[in-house]
Amino acid sequence: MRDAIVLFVNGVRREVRGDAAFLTVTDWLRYEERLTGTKVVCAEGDCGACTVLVGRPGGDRPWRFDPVNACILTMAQLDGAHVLTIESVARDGALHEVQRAMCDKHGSQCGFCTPGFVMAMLGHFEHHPDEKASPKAVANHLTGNLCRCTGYLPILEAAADVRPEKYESVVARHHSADIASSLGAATKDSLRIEDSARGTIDAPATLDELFALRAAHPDARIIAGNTDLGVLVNKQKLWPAGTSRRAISLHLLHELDGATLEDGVLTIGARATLGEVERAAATAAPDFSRLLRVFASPQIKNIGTLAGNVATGSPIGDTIPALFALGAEVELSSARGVRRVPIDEFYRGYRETVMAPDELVTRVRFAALGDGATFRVYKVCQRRDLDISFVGAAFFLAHDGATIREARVAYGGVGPTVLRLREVEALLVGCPLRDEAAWERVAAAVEAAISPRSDLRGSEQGRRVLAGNLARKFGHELRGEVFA
Amino acid sequence: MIKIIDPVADPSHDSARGHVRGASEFIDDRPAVAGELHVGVVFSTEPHARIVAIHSAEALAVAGVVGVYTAKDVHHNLWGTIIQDQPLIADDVVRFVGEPVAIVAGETREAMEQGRRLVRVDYEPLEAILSVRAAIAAKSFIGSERYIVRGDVDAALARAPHRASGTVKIQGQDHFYLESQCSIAYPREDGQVEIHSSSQHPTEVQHVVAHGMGLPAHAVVCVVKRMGGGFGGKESQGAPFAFFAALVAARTGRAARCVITKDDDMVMTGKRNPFEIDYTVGYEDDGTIVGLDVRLYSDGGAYADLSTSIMERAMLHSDNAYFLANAKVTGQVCRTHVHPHTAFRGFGGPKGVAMIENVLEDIAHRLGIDPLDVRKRNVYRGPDRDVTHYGQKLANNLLPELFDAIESRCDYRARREELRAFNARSKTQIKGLSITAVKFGISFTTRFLNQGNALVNVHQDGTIQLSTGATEMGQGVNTRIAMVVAEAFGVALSSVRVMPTSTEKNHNTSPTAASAGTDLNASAALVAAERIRGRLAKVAAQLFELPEDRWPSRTAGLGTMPEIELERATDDIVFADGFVARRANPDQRIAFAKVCREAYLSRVQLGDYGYFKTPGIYFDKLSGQGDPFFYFTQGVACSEVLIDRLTGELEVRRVELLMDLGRPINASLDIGQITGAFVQGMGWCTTENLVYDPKGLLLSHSPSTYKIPSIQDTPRVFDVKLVENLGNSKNVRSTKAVGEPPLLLAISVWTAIKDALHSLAPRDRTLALSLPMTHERILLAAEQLRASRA
Repeated sequence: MRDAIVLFVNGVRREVRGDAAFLTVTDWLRYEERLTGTKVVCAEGDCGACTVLVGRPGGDRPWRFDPVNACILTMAQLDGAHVLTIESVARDGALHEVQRAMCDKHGSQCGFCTPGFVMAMLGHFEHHPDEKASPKAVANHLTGNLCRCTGYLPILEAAADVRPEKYESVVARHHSADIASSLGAATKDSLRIEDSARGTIDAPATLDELFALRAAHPDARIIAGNTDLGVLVNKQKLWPAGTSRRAISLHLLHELDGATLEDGVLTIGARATLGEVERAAATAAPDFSRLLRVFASPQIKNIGTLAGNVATGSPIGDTIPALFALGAEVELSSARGVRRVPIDEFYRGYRETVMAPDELVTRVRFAALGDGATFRVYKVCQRRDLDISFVGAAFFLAHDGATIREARVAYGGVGPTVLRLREVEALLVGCPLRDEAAWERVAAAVEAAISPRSDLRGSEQGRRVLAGNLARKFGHELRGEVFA
Repeated sequence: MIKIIDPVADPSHDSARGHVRGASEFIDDRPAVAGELHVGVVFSTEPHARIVAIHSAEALAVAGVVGVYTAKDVHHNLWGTIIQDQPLIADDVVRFVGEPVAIVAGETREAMEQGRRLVRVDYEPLEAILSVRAAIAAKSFIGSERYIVRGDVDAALARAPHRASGTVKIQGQDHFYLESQCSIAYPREDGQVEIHSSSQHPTEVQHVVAHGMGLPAHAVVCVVKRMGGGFGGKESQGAPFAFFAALVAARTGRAARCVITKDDDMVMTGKRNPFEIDYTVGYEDDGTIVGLDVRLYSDGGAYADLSTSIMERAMLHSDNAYFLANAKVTGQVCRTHVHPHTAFRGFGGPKGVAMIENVLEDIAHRLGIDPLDVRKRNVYRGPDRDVTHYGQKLANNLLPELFDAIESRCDYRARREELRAFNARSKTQIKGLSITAVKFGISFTTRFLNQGNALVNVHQDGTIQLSTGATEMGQGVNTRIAMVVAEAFGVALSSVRVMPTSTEKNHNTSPTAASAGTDLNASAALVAAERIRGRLAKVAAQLFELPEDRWPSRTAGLGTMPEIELERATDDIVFADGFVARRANPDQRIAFAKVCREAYLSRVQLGDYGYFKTPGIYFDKLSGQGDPFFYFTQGVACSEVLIDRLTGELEVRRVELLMDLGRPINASLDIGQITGAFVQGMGWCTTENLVYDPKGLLLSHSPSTYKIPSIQDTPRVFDVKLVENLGNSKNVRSTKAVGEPPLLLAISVWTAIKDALHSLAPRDRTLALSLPMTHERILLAAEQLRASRA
């Protein structure tokens, strides 16, 4: 059992234990390490000012560095990782190519978002050196970074001016086999960080240990990506200042890594990030993959997990209507064994699930779409990208090209949980696929079946109109009536 | 004919290299000094209530909590930029959710936060006014009603062949500067305090701190190195946070850091004022406005702040680019129980402009005339239609040409036809297209603010440090001022460094606001630079006459030569490329640094202090008449939007924009201001939705719920061009201010949404759009039209 987190920061080894091990990564960087280039604005992973690159091995994957939001990471998550901050980017007084472009193209005004943009851009070019010419690709990778000064045009121009061939990759420049083996050797054993005031965070190295800890501490919160917990903690809604916490981190459990497609089934481990799922689902369920593209920023997708999204059980939970329509099942594990629950039986009420106190979500599975299946997801929000849905909807239709044989329809944001609309499904079965009148009836049935409420994201009336319209829109799309 | 300025490679922002390396120092990046304390604010959870008791014992019992301070600890509690009506810390009554009630100081942030949570306040609720209409009904106002009147509007309306009335409801906007409010106070000897603040107005910080603490002004220094964005939100509202830090520093004798979280900042600080505008317009068959009677109400929030001045600018911009033969503009600020609203880029301007552009859009729809033609019919045009409703004649008016130029550049007529066909064809989408203009008056409408001072120090190696009252918030004011001074001395920009703004170097400064930061401060710096240059020219003229071995650098040590006297003709001395030369004989030249060294050794003053006040401006606030503006910045924009009728989702597809910025100092920085302001304005018009609970607590207080535009929202076609105009010779370097005006061009996105929705509406039906038009409002408007046609 270890009592210290081991990590590298900008090429330098650090051990962190006790009080400091409970800090957010930004607080540790800024106030303990005096690396103040990493900024905090929102403390909820929505603005990207805190973007750093985190390098880690992913099971059998090679080391890769990905941009993440340091403000909602807790230090335990960096155990075994190599974190690179903005301070590492320029070398010997010479600007990096990305920095040069940001200067030359006036991509920085007040400067507060700039380090985050540089890190996000660096992360983008690390994996997509060929995509610099496409403003759309660049924009997709910078959705997680807000700038209030430039209107973004100069930043897009800077990205277009970067010549990735002019510099070596981050992994080549900053990483080494020595660092990898040093971290590997140091982080084999399970970890327990403890502080009399702050509490305990456990990181088991085996599933057996995990299940034992879970059973012993049913009140402990599970840390996978921490993208939800981190926000609650920062906003003093969970473990506020002066209280003690209990958490279990999954970061050493590589059995739960990855998303793999085998025999027509996509199996998604509890540690598989949303980004990994997006890539893995590209062929299995392309529209699910497309949803994940706008669902969250790269920084969130590089750390947040699908299992976390499922377990959190938000009634909007953007991925959940899609998983309902895909007929996904949730694997729940404990020392007692493993069981699989269809996702539409997983939720009991507002943020309530059928999970027993000693259980955890270990995997999510769904079958890849076959021929004769049409699957479509909609997510409508105030801002198209990186926003929580006003209403979300997902449709799965099995058909022969003319008549619908089977249907699954689920809506989010229109009730206390995600709703599967069985009466609407019944209406669809046997209907002609492209009949306008049929879809008009479906839309009316959707409006009747839901129970939306007004909140700060919109009104009850708006949600009802939109929910019906999404069915109409799907009908228009099936008839090929959407263009431009 | 309009000529487009060709782009050149302009110098980057003077902090760009620091910014991209994360090396630029912001307030919270300053290392903690020994014993430094963390300062937090306990704020009101009630919109209007009597404070019965404040219980701080539990908080004080927390290990590490050093003190809890309340109104009793403030020497003089009332402050306010225009009207001193706001307590720094609420005394017996709270007047908005978010109002400071107590200040907590802790050894660590953790202790401070814990203490903050444990301070309990007992309230006795009082009746709260939470809307403009409720305030009007209760006659709850700030300041008196104001008027600008021209002609006889009642008679004009009675005569007009067409009349229409309506209301425009405009919401507020959060500044969402990335760096939230923050200050650090350092106690200095003999009772002094030094404040480092993220503030657009260091002089006001100095004054508010001095006043609140009972100190003379000379005991307080405020330093501003830079801000992580301001946009008006740190013009007045940075001061209380500086005061809280100063209060703790004074009470404890320890440095004190007050850094507010984004959530708390958004709840506590005021926004762009919401407006409700009622209007009646009369117009001819061809769309010419003959009379406009408009009554503007704004929500000032709980305290006056800058709201009366903001209302004044809204009234002065209710014409925008259009001649109003008969007009009556009435303005009244309402007092409600929400956070005191404040300056935001454009000040009142965007509200007046949104109103008139909306009116023009409706006139066009009702008459079945293209909205562009209605605008061109009404645009200010000499000789008879070029005097504003407040009596200022438009000099150097490019507006008619700008309309013509944008029309042809964006291929308006052909696209209008395409769009009509698209809207007829599509079952799920509609497109809208709109051109709007801006004519933004430059100068503070409060005359005494139009002054600036600057200190220029030339060192013996020829490098220059300069200091002004301008504050750098990303807009590049320091870079522009440095460029003006470098040009004056003919030296490289790298030889000039703009130093942190500090009230001990520059006194009685105006806020960096009203887009006038460069105008005022570069003008003052140029006054100082030109004086120094005049003396250096005389030195150089004499050096040219002397053999080098008789120059002061060879002789001053031993004192073998008389000092250089300063009476030489300098007409043919030029400063260029780092040298001082004779125009007649450019080969005869001396390095600038060398001249500086020789000047010093001859006891010639190498530093100077410049002062500037804007000439020829006046505005009588009571009569509503005058020449309040030094000049106008003008521009036009064309926006095209695509709307999904079934979801209300909006895409701004294409934007073309032309601005007249006179002779730009740094066109690249100016274009960055334009793209930034436009997208910020677009956010105000579309996605930025402030949602309050029934008590006036802001619910959308972080980026997860308050949506500023993201990189995906930037129009994919976004063409920004500057037009040549060398005619603004009265301003420094013939340039024009840029900070605010382009924000108002984003109103073209809003009117394009209206244009799109009007395609679904019969001619006799115009849509009352609110601002912002969120996707939900678009959805419901489209749905209503669909239902009414079905």
